[in-house]
Amino acid sequence: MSRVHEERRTGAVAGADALPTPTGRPDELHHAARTLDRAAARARATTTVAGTLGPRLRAVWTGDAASAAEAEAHQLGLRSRGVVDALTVAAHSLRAYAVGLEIARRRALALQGQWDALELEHAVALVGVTHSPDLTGALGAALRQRADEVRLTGRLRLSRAYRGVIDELETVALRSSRRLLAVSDLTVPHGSSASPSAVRAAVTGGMWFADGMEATRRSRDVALADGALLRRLLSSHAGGRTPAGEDDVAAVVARLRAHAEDPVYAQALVEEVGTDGLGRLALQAGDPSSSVSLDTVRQLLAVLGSVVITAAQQSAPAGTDPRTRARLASGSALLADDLVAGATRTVSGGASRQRAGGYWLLGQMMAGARLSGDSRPLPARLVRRAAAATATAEVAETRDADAELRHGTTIHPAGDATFASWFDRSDFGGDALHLLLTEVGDDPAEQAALLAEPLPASTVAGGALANSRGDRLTVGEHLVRRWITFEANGTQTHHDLRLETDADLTRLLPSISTATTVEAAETRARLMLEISRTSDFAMREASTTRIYDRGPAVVEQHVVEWLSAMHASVDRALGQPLDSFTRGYSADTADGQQPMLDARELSGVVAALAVDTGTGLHAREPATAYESLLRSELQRAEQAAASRLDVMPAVARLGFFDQAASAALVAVARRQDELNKAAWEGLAEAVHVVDEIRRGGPAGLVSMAQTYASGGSLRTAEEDLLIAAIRSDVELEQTELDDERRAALLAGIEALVGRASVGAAGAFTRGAGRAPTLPTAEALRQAREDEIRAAWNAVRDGGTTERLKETRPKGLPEHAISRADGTHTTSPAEAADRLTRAHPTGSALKDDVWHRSGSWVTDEIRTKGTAFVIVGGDGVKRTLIQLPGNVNGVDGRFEWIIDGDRITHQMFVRGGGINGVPIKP
Amino acid sequence: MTRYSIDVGGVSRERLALAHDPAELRACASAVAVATAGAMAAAGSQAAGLRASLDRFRTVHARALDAVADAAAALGDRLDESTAEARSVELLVTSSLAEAAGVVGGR
Repeated sequence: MSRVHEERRTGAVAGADALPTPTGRPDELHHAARTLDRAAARARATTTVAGTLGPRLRAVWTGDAASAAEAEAHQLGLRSRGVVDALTVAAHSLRAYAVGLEIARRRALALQGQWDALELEHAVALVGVTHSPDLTGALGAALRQRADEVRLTGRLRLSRAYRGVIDELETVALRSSRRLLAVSDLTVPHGSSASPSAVRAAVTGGMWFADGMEATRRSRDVALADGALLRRLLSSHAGGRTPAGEDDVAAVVARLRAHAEDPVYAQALVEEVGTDGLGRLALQAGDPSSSVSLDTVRQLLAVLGSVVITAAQQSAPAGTDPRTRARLASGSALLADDLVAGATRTVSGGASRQRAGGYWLLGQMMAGARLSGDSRPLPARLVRRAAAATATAEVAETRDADAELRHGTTIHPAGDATFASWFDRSDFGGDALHLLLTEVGDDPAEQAALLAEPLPASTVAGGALANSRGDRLTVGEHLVRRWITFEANGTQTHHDLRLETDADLTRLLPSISTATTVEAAETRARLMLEISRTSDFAMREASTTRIYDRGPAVVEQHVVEWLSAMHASVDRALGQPLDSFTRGYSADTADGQQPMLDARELSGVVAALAVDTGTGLHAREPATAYESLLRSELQRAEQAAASRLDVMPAVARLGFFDQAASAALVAVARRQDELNKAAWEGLAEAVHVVDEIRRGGPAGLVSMAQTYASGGSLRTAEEDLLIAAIRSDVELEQTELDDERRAALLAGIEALVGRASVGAAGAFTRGAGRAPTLPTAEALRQAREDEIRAAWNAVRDGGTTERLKETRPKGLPEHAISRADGTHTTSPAEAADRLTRAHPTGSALKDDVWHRSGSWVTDEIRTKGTAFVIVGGDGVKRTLIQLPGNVNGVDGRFEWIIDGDRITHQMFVRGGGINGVPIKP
Repeated sequence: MTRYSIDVGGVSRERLALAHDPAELRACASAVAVATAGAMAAAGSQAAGLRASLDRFRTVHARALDAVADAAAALGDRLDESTAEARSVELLVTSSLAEAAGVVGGR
């Protein structure tokens, strides 16, 4: 509005004041428009906006991924062109307004000129009136009024014109404003926020690569901040600073919980702090000197467990863009590697410097997560690898020099619990291996893969990670070993915190029990071998005999079923000499793949099934597991007879099983006798020691100490004679019982198969011949008589056992002291047969060339070997085989000592001749 | 199984064409912000509505160009990943073939 109305009744007013020029700088508006145009042109020159990338990609890349990339490039081009086009529209609008403003300003200036002219005309008119003659004054008044009216009319006209100019300018401005708003609304909907995230969502939303980058950036920023917080807490106990307290840890829990299910965050946080860092944080919070409550420690473990679960997920959440998905997949793989490597590492933390193995800490975190309700599964592959690493760590822990670290940590278990744990629920305790095994779902394929997972290497565990064939142990084999060495030993398992290995095996073994695939058959073979080996070790020690005092356990029942179902494989093993046996864990048969064990290994499996009771100076019946095996085989023989099929293979298997079981029971009986004899000898020694003490005198005590230090004995020949007479003879008793059982079994077989029994005894014997040989009852009676007679001769000759031992050459086993002058009373062929069937033990298991080389020349014993019967200091007869030969250019002799069904000595004696004396050249 | 072919060198060349896009687009965003700010100041007192429109245009489009720049960078990364994966596959296949050739040659 001009100021004309205010000034209409007053004096002169300048045009610039009455009709002010519209403000604004058109030239700058033009400049801005040009800038926008240049920016648009610059943007259009990019490949992104030009949209030329897609077609060019097509020329060099085809396939689904290429199509996706092309579509993405096309989509980005479309969206970006919309944004850039808006710049052109804006420039046009600015330019239009600038032009309007220019016109308005020019017209306003013109109107101002007219206004000023009108004012001048009015002033001139008034001057004219003043100088005109007017006697009455009426003319002057009339002329002035007229001039005023003219000016007023002019002012009104000019004001209306000015109003039109301004209106027109405002219309242009409004039109430009609307166009600007319209293009802005095209980019971001009208009324929406123009915040960076809202604009980003509107422009590139739905384009996975762009969205993923933005989301990843946000998550990483939070993770980096939280990682820095965790590192500050981890270093807080150092340098005299205040250690992290309840509030600090609670704050960490709250922050981590808010993002624990964001995989980008979880991976970035773990990457930032490291799995070791997570473990140290837990140790620091759970330190005995820490002020953090146990409940908060559990919350921390829970959220750390959830973070680990999230970070380890191989499948990204629904809606995750493929690019982020790919990065998460590689991130989870790296994390899995780190977790597995960390499982065998030990970390320490807290003011008390408590230590814990990575596997134990992982178990605690998983327990926390599960107890807090996080049921998301860990990837099966990670579970398998982590379980295998845990198994390796368990084995290594039993062989390292760290006596303080037990079952994964230096934290002491509560009460008399086996495992230390921050949780008091027995099913979520400190048994990390069990916790990891429970992570495996019910999918039989995953369970089978878990059992077959090989344990990772460990320099500490070394050879303990090898199975009986020298191959790397698998998780399944470790569980069997663990089951026998921990679970089956009830006296070492706390009532409230039992090892769950038995339950684990119960759950896992069905996955490989019936499948006829190579993998399942191999796993069954490995498990049976481990059972065989571990039970063999266990039966050598009195303290471990009780291991089998659990009756038919689930594993044994599975083994019975596996053994019963692999008759084709057993037949093949029984028909194949050991030295021509093809090493492999499975064999292809008409019934599919079956576990493949040689006759010696099968004997060990049967032995494990046959022995289950504790010690006692009496013969015993085979265990129920073995009876179950026998029933199954008898049933098979009966079915074969009923179907008029060949029953002899089944009969041969029965003979083999019977002999293998007898050998196992006799071995236990023999050990009972050895223990009994040792007890008597110990008692005799004790009497002498007490006597020496009573008689007093330093000289006597020194003499006694020297005797024992030199391996001597204080026993008299009379005492040895007495011991020989009264010691137990469970071996003979067991042999007689086995003979009765064998006769009954054979009779039963003949009755069962009826007319098909012709030749059954022969088949039975053939099968038995593949199992370890045993001395007959008569031979045992004779040996006992010889033992007593030797003792009597020693009394008669005034000799003592001590004297014999004193003359023993260094390195020569005590039992090798020959009192039979190396008489050869057995043929080389017979000795060679016994050697083939016997189990290697002691030096026969050494793998250096001087001990191992004997295994390569056993075929030559029949033609070139010499067999001797030697009687050791213990009065037991053994067979010594000597064979001239050459190893690595060195002449000498090979030699073996067979003790019952065992090879107790095997070596190459450099420069040795055939002399009937072991070890000495 | 999906059949595809990728000229790793060709895709890398095309990816180079994208290399400067993010910087260019961010420069454009800056230019838009500066130009529209100047326009707001030059619009004049009688154009309050126009100034408000310019303000929204400035905010929206400067940020929109930044978003496009980020997306262009992400697209470039995606091509990098594809070529890297393809090269891995290529190396795996060639090394496997080499092993196989070695086995065959050793017979």
